[in-house]
Amino acid sequence: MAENASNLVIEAAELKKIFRDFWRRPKVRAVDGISFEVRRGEVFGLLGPNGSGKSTTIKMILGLLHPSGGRLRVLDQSPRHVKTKARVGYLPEHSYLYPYLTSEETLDFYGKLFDLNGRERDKRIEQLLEMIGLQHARHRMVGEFSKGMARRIGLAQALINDPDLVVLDEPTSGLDPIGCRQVKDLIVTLAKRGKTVLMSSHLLADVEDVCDRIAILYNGKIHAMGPIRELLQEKGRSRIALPELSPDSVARVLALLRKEFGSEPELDHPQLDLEKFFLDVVEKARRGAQAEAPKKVSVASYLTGEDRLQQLATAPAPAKNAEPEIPAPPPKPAPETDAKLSRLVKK
Amino acid sequence: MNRILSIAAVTLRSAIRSRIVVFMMLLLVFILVGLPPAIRGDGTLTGYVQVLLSYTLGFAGIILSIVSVWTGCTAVSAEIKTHQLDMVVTKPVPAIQIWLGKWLGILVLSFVLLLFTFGSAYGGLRWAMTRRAADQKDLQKLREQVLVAREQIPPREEGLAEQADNLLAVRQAEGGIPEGLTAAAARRVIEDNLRLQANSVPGGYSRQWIFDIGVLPADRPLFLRYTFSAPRDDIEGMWLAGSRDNRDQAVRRVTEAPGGFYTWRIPPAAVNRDGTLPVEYGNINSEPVTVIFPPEKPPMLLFYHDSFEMNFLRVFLVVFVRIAMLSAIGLTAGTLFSQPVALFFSAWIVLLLNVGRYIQSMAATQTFFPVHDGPVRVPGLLDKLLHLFFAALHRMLHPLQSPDVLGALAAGEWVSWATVAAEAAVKIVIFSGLLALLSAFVLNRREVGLPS
Repeated sequence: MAENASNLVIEAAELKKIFRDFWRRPKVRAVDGISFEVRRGEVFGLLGPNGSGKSTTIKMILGLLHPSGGRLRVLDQSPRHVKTKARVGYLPEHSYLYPYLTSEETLDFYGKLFDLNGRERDKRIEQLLEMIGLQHARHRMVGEFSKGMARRIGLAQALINDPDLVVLDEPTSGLDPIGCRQVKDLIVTLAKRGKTVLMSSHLLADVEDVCDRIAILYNGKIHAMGPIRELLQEKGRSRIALPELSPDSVARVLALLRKEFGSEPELDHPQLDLEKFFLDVVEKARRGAQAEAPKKVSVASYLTGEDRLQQLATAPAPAKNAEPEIPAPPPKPAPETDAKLSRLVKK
Repeated sequence: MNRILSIAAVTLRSAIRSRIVVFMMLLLVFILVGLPPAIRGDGTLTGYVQVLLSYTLGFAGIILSIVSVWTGCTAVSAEIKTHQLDMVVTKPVPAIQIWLGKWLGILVLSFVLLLFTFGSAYGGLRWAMTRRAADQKDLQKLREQVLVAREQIPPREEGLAEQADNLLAVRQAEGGIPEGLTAAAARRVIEDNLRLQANSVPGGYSRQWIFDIGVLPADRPLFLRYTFSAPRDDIEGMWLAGSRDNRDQAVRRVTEAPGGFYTWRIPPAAVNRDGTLPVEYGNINSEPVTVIFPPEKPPMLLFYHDSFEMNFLRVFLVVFVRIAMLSAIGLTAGTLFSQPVALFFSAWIVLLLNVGRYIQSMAATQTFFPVHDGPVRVPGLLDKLLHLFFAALHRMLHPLQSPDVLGALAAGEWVSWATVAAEAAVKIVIFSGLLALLSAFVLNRREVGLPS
């Protein structure tokens, strides 16, 4: 394996899951020999129609189901190992929280399961409630929540331990567009901090927005996998975006392109995606109504690493033999400049 | 510990919200409040308190057993069904801590309910003493025979085993053991017969029992408690307590009906200086009737050992230990099986624990299907298999059966700390500990994320 082992967060090789009936006869082959790897700092998406094996794969990664065959390592250990679980956060597809606990009690309960001390727990609960916008509902029971609110508190509990691997099953399901945007921003923030995110979603636009790589499952098998930019790239075509041109300028540019490439170029006007349009409209409407401007999403400081930076700033210099910090992931490469286009512009 | 406590707190809150548990709690309140006024007893204060202690606490104990088994069964199985347990097992909590947390939550609920039950019973008892105590003699009887913890001493059993051995040897030498009866079974029958003979008093005869009491405070009264069977309703008898040369020897002539329990107050001065007390029964009926004191319930000597309140506390603890064990059984069943199967399984175990005497008698039975074609009933293959089955079942269940502590409390009998410790050791440390390990093993291997 060429990949540096310590950089791999999930390693699945020929992973299988067969559900059996009472007499141990095979009933459903939910996952059929899939192999994939997820690296540190990556946002990896599992896509596929219902019954394609996404949730089963996620449950095996969490140790909730046991593979029928193949190899599965999470954070270089068995997914059922207690040490592995200490570094994983999980948001299930549906709310499996205790309905009779309040938001605060819910976070406190899961914080205790991670053995966080009281002060740290209180601090994180405060930050998380602010982050998900449920400070006003801290004393309300989770059972009274709307689906979107339950999703938010579910997300908060998944992050209470500042996990290295966050597993999100349909993270934006049930959220309004603003909530969706917040969750996606959060995923990007986590990835920037070197956290690994594994998510499954039916909402392809969400996946496209945040995932670095995806795997598309169908009938328990991976049918496509790779970096999302590569998979979606139309080979042999380029697109140039310019400020709006006068008809004269358009005619001249088209003529130049025809002369250079010998084929007829297409001319269209770029469109906003619906989510961006919606968010712009809502923001303008709020400003127009003199309403309070929407607060910028404040990600809990312990998740962004600000706490760590503050600690480092105030702490004495580390000893030479001290363990190194987890290195930040390398910055994502900017898109390569097309040399041909540069030449064309110069002309 | 933090994890166990937080799981316990959530389990407790979950249990309180269960409709069945709430219904059972209301039923418990009804029993505690409604049953005592409905108790008639024998019309005496002593009878009322005895019924209050045995029946009210007995019914309440059954309700609490159901609550603990139900809560135990649902604590894990219902959370697996609703996937709430997914959120716990994906956290770094070892399976044994999950089980212990759940158990602790149920124990807290059981403890609080049991405390309420015993507190109410004690309050009812004190209330009855202030409201109904008109007869001073009745009140004295209550204080001396019920509101007390009296130690029980059985009579000395001298040389019965040797006599049985000798008689067996003689019978074997004579060839008098029937074919098909093993030597061990024959010896058991001989010993039982000897014991029966030793407790039978034919007309015109007397029988003496020796009690080893030891040093006894002079101001503490002694009580002889006995029951007997006889073929007539009015049996005349003469009781003598103390040696014939003791001028404080107590004498009592009685006419009593068979089947009842009788108590005779004996002055402490009747005890010999060496700490022994001989008690003699004379059958003085004019007709030749034999009075039989049941060998399994021979005359017993009772004397003050401790206060009622301390006994009450010990009985509370023994009942709590039993409820803790039942909740551990329910919890383990809920870990092993789905909710309906777990409830069915637990109900069976509870039923088996409550028919311990029947299983014991079946385990002692050699032939279940008698053969009528010969003089001797020879056990067949099926008999042997059934005997083995019941013997194994008895051996498994016997340590888990609880002594009748509520009966002892109502009879003013001392329940020792040793009993409490033994109950706790067997039922909590050993049995529940084994169940915890089994549950942790299963929970580690069970796929809790299976689609429901």
